[in-house]
Amino acid sequence: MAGEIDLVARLLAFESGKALRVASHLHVSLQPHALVVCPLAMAGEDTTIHTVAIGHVGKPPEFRSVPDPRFREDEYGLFTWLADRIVAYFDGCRSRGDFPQIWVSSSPAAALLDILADRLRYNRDDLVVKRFGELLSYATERFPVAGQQALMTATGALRQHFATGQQEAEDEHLGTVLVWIEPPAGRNVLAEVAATELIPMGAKTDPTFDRQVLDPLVRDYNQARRKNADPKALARRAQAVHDVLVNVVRPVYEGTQRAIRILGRLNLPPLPALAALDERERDEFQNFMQSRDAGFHLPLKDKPKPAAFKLADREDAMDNMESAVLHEDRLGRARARLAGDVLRGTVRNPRKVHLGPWRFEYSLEVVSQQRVLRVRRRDELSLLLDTRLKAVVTDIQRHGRTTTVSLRLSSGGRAVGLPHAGEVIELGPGAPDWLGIIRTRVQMAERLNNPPWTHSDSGIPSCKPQDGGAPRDLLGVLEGLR
Amino acid sequence: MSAAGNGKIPELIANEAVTAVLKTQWDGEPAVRLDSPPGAGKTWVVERLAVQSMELHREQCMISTQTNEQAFDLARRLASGFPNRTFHLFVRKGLLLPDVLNGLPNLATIRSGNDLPVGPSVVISNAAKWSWIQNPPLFDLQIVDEAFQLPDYRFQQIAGLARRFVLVGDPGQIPPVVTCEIERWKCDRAGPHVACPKALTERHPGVRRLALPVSRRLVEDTVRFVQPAFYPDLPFTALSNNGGRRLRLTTPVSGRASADSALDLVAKGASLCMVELPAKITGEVDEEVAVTIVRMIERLFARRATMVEDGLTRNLDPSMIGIVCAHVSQVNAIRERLPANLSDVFVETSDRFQGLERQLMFVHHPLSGRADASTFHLAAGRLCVMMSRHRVACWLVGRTGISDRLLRHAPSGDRTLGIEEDSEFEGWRAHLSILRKLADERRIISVQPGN
Repeated sequence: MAGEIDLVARLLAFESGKALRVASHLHVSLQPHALVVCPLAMAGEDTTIHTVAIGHVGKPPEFRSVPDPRFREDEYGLFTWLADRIVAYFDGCRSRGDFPQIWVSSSPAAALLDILADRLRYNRDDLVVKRFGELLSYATERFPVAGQQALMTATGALRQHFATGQQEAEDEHLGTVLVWIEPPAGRNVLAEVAATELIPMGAKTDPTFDRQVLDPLVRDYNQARRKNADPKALARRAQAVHDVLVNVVRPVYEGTQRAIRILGRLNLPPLPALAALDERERDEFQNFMQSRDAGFHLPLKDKPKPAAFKLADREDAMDNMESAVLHEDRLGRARARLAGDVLRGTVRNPRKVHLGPWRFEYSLEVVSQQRVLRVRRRDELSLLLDTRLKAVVTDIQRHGRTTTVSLRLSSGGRAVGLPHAGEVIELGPGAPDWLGIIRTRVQMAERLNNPPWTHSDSGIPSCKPQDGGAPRDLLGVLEGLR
Repeated sequence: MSAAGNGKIPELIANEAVTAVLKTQWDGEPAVRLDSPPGAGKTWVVERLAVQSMELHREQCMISTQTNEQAFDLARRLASGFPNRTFHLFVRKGLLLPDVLNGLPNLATIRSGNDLPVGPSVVISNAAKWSWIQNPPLFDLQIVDEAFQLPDYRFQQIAGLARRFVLVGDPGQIPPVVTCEIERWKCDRAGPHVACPKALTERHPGVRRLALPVSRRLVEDTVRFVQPAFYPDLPFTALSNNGGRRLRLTTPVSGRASADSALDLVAKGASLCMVELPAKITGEVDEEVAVTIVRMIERLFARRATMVEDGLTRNLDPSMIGIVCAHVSQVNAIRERLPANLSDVFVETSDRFQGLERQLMFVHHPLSGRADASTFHLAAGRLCVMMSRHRVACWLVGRTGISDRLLRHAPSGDRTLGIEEDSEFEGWRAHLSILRKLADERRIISVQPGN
């Protein structure tokens, strides 16, 4: 049911020919120093970069290509060039006590960086390239964590704020999303989207372009190289490859920059949670860099203990982010209401019963007409207007389309006060707990200080039989204990 | 095959299996993984393991459940089943307890880790609560109930609390709920997101594995459908043969509604059948399916249904009926159509129905009315839970054309090298095999909306 808002928004966008804003607040932290990185891999060579455009937000790009990334020396030259920029950027962020933010066009570009990070951080021959891989790993390992601000995809960031008139999967093409958000005046948006779809916006070039343009130029370069052509002739051919690749990567870079500009121009108030997310990102980055300084290895495969920490982090981040959007964004709240995660209704029978000196029991009923409600007995809900007030569900009665939820206050009766009869209130999950993960980590660290045998390589302990044998009629003996 | 036990009577097979489980504790097995088909008496075994540990071995035993509700249910069963023994329920401060627990004199409620009993005891709590306990004692035995719902990273946090473990669960049900992205561990068969019994035996293949071979809940007719579809590697049989439990419709009616045919089919001995409405893409909420289910229940009462269970005949009561859906919105669509006299009919999602049972079940088919077949709706575990809650009979209700949609389904191909499990294929296969078998045995009844 929650998807209905997004479906309706898409239909409205389709009808009007223009994307619809679906957020009341800005959900991403736009770092003024962020780095836009647009790599393109060679078709069939998924662990390479054929060309890359890189530059800071609002700045023109620098381009770098290799004529053929299958030549390791050339490719490593490109990595070294890229490493210089990434290392300088990361070092700058660290010295300011800030965190780096990398923007790419879409998920495939983020995936390409992930592959490169995995591939390069174990390099034993080239320490610069190794460092590049390690630093890239910071961004790529943060990427799956909800609310992270280290590696942003332009398509993902736009999708958090706009509904387009196309299918969700089509929103991974940055060009078409931009057309929906800023449709060209006087032109049919669908025709424009169809034309834009032909322009590569991910991490690969177009197959027709490859066949007709790129492949002949690369072959030409390789032939010349095999024939030991003079350096000038070789450079001319390399430049030809570079020129055609720049024409492909430039729109990707410009589209990513445009996406950032659009988000900035929205002038939406930032989600209050962004302050906490920025703080978390700073901490994560500083910890990551300290670990590198200390020479800790970045594992490719996690042992059970670090895996448990990482998964707990991700689950916590997911819960907090959902909660933040529900509490802080009006559209997020509306989605939660439709999904039944927020109870909205009219207060009935508020009661304050005197139990003894300074002891009161507060209770109330909330009458709701919501079609979907995910509320069960014993759930604890918070008043969304002031989360200090918490109430436990004691009963739920449904009659036709009316649901009456009985609640007993568990906290906030004095500080917030019992809601009045007839008042319309909203109750739902508690506010995000940004410090919860710290408590979790401390507890886990203590608990897993000595890993249990179940999760270590120590093997299964030997059996220690109980004294005396089992009774012949074991079930009978146990029944006798009833 | 659904038979297990080489011709022995099921009661004997069941008791032998339970005795074997109990004896592992006399042998001092460090860990036991106990796989159980639906309704095989997992909780019954957990109770006996706990009492054996406390009373015969004079040990400290902890039981980990996945939810508070499961902890409450287990505490209630232990305290009322063994009224001369004391049990402990460990819950957070302020948690509201069901009234039924407050009335049990031999159930002590603990709100702080400092109050844990010393000496032979059984303490029940949920896994999350156990993971936060400070300065815990080292228990002799930890029993994890519904262990296939517990992801390994959460088991790891409580595994250090005991010397020995018994992980009890149903491998065919809905896997642990992990909502975050897990791509990083996808290739790891013992990854942190994997159900803890699977992860444990992957890391330590020498861990003792046992299985319960008899379902006490399902009748043989249902086992013929459920076992091959959902438990190809876990043979089991039914304690009750088809005649042992049945539905009787005592009032003949004239001008029968078409849904009556489906009721009659069950009265003639089928424990599973499908009711199909005309094909229609409806999205999540299908009001006609909701109306049909409610209408069928009303027809059961109009025809004065009685239930024969193991020699006892009882009039049908609304509390004997359950309705299970894939989505909360479907649950609500049905609840709002149930008349006041049927308010005791239990309507819930499959996730919440795990571990519960009713005499009669109505299943809102998860693929009904859909244009697509997503991983969520294809999940074999979800359908398995839905089709294994009934003691007497189950009606699947949905739209015509599900088989065709399955045959047209293009798999995402999201498989991983080194991981043998392919949940999408398993779900697809299970759905299709159930529907084919129902069709082969002419158990699919077409009805018109409103009839």
